[in-house]
Amino acid sequence: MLSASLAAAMPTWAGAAKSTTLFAAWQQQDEQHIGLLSAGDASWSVKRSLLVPTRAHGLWAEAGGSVLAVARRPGDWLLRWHPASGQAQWHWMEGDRRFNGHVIASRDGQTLWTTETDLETAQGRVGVRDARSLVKTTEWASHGADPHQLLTLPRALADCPEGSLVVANGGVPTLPETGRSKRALDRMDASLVALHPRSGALLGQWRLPDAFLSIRHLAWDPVSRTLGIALQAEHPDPVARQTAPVLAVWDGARLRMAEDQPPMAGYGGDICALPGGGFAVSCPRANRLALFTAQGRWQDGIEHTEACALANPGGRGPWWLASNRGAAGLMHGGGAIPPTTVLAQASVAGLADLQIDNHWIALPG
Amino acid sequence: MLVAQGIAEEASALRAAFDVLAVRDWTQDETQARAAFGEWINQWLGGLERLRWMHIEQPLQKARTAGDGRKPEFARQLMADNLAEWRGQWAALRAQAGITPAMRDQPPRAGDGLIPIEALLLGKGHIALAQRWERALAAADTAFAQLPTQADDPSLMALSKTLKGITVLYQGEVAAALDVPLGFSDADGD
Repeated sequence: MLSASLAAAMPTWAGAAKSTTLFAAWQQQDEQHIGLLSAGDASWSVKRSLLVPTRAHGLWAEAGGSVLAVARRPGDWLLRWHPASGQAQWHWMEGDRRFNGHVIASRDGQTLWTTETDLETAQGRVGVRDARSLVKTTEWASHGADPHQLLTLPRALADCPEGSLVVANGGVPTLPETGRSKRALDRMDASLVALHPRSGALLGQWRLPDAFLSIRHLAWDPVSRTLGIALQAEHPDPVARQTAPVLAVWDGARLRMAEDQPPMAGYGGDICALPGGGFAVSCPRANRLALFTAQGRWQDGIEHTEACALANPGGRGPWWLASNRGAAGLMHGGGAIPPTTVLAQASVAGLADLQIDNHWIALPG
Repeated sequence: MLVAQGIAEEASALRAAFDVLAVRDWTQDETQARAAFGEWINQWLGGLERLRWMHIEQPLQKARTAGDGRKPEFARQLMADNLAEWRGQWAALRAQAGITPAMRDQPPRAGDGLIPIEALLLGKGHIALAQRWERALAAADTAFAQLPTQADDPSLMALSKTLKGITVLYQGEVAAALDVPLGFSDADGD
């Protein structure tokens, strides 16, 4: 599964990568943080951080240098943070709604969309918020349960116009009283939906043939003009779960599962488009980064301990990969698949107990 | 009055549903028994986090992050009433978590009554973990007992930190030792 050329390349240092700033969320000891990490070709460090009360999950970088973070499901806070000044703007969820862990902004920056759950019905909602105040102005049905990540289509695709809002309905039924027990998984109903960005009208809904696959994280490949979807398996049968696909692809008309994939423990933690086209899905439970073509065909696997957070700014290299546990370091690389230019696996100084969450974002500059 | 009637009716419905579960012969269907056990272990954590986060720490954090010097808004107006409620919730959670002195003299047996989490750990041979679990529960007992009548923000944050220690131990070690996967724990992905 691990290509010999990569195995040989990983421990070595090749070329000098420019220092990159990554916006991340992490746990250190018992405390939860968001912050900026400075990652170079030989080491990385925490530049700035903010203590947050519970685990953060979805992150977003705004124009002007501010960033957004939202609490993991069942979450109750949304935060805008200005790392340069340290200023923080908090918004707390009230009533019978909870955040599901992801937030994005409209192209003009005036509107935020958040995935949420109605605790009374366990049905998914998309919160439409005023970007300045973070306050909800209206909300739409997500047409499913457990909505997770969402993105806007950068161009028209089949019957979906440019700017359409694509939402991953994870489909995992939860117990509203606690939001913890995964119950009645035989009633899972995961789907991908496209919504009109101004009205929330349903433009289309797509389901996979395997009902135990939760549709969770999304990445747009500008080269192939395809959406990649990282999956998480909930099969009661351990063998089915371990061998389940971790990727699906959507071209605007069809949603189909990855092909020829070896077992990846059924858990895709994050996804990004690869330079040159295709997708990388991190599989922390298999300690692998799984590489696919834009059509969803298996290409290669790169060993990396607890591989999880992925970033590929603008769809161009280098891409960045973190381990869940800081002690395992991070990796950055570039080029088309199969990747022949894994550049470095950076060490960590004094951050051995830092546990990075599923996602991070490479910031410009 | 209507609210009280609603609470009484919900309590009666819960009581009736639990009575049905209590007399059920769980040895007849291992799958259902495992599912119910797993749900109980998950629910216990849900109950603890509801007490620690929703009732105690979240109002403190909301007030702190508002940045305008506002006071925390707890569920009840008088701190004494909040403390009474929180202690009641902790007592209910505690009863399912730890072995009582009476149980140490006469260990509980399956089918005869509640077998708390500590006893389950001991029964599965996790002696050291059971001792750490007991110490974590005792620390929370002490934290609740020592809260002043007019508990201030720092003392409540300290209580929340003590309870968080139980959460971390539960998520990281206790549930796994009981072979129960936790949904949506901080140790999980998403």
